[in-house]
Amino acid sequence: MRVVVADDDATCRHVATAVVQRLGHECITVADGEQAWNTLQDRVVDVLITDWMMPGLDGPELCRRVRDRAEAEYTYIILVTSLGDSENVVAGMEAGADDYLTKPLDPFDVQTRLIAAARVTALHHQLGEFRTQLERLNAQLADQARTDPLTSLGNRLRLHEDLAEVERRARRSGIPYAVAICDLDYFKRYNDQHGHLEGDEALRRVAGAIAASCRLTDRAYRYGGEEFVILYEDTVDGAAVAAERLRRAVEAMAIPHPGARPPGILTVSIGVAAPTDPGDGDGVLRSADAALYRAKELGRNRVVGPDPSSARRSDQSAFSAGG
Amino acid sequence: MADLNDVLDPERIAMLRELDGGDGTLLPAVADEYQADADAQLETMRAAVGAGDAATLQRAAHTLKGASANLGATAVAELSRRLEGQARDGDVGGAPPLLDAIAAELARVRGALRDVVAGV
Repeated sequence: MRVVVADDDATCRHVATAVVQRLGHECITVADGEQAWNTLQDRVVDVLITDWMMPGLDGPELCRRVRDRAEAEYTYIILVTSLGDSENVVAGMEAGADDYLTKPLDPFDVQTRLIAAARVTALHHQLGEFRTQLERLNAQLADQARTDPLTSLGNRLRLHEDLAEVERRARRSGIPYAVAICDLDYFKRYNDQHGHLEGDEALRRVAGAIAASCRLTDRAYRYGGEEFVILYEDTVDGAAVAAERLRRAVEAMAIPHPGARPPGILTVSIGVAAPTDPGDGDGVLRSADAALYRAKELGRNRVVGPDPSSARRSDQSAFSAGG
Repeated sequence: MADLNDVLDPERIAMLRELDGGDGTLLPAVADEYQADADAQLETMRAAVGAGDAATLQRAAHTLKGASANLGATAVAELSRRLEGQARDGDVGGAPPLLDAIAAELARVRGALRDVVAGV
């Protein structure tokens, strides 16, 4: 172990060093609390054997400082008190010391204390490793809980978290955002005709096209069965352009779908909306959903914006029919 | 040897002899450090008594107590402990007799250390 001995008395330092080295440990000696503190900040120290009374930074204050720092590695502290100072021991233990010794230091006492110190520092080390492992596993689980296993896109939970973040930014900095909901056309029929395995494969391919169409600031999610959401940090016009690019990309894959009328291939309908109130993320999802229904009504395989008047050849109410 | 055992704790001296692994350097080094340090503390304590400075007296007595116990100079350690206690209570006036006793005891320790280091 690496042991630091702090004592303002040279003879005590000398003897303590001889004892520690005799037991096969690395020993660094310092003459006051400030030097001890500096050493502890520079390197990992397993055990600190510190005198109670030292000029400047004394033993208990040193204990408190060591315990207050946010180091992963644990330093075992043995406080050394002198003859007649035993009332200090409790205060020292409360300040963060693990054990105490009384001057004059006895090699046998030091040896037994260092055995306990080795065990405790090893436990703390193990604990630190467990914690790191746990944090990593937690992060993995948190990521899994937010990922759709079929498509590897974010799921609904991640969407709602990201949407909340985008709302906050929009409110604070005025960064615009828009949302698209993308739905596979006649997908129930596709599943009925090809089976669910083929259906899953089609979902994966469309998800791949969506992911590929995403720019740096676009984020895509699987929202439900055959519904995807794309979150754009963009104006609604910019989002509509991106959505149209996606629609064409799916069309260009030309996945055969005899049940689709026309054109015999798998297509998507997309509704795009921007928030009227930047803080209303649920409202924007509802608007995009309404736009999607209009896209379905208008014959599918198209992108429809938020305003009913902007829907091509639409004279119907935004909420009148489903796809 | 009876005289020496009276001044320095023989068990402590034996421990210090054993501690340096037989090369015989630790004990003379610690003895030298101790004598230089004890003289300095004694001087500090006398000055503190003159200045009525109980805090400095207490600290110096504390240091001498630790160093003396470390070397097995039990009587000096005990006298220093009493002096430290007095100073902690703010009593500086009672110090001179204790300081004299410490100085006398230190002279004996010095002689005993010389013998110990010389291997008598």
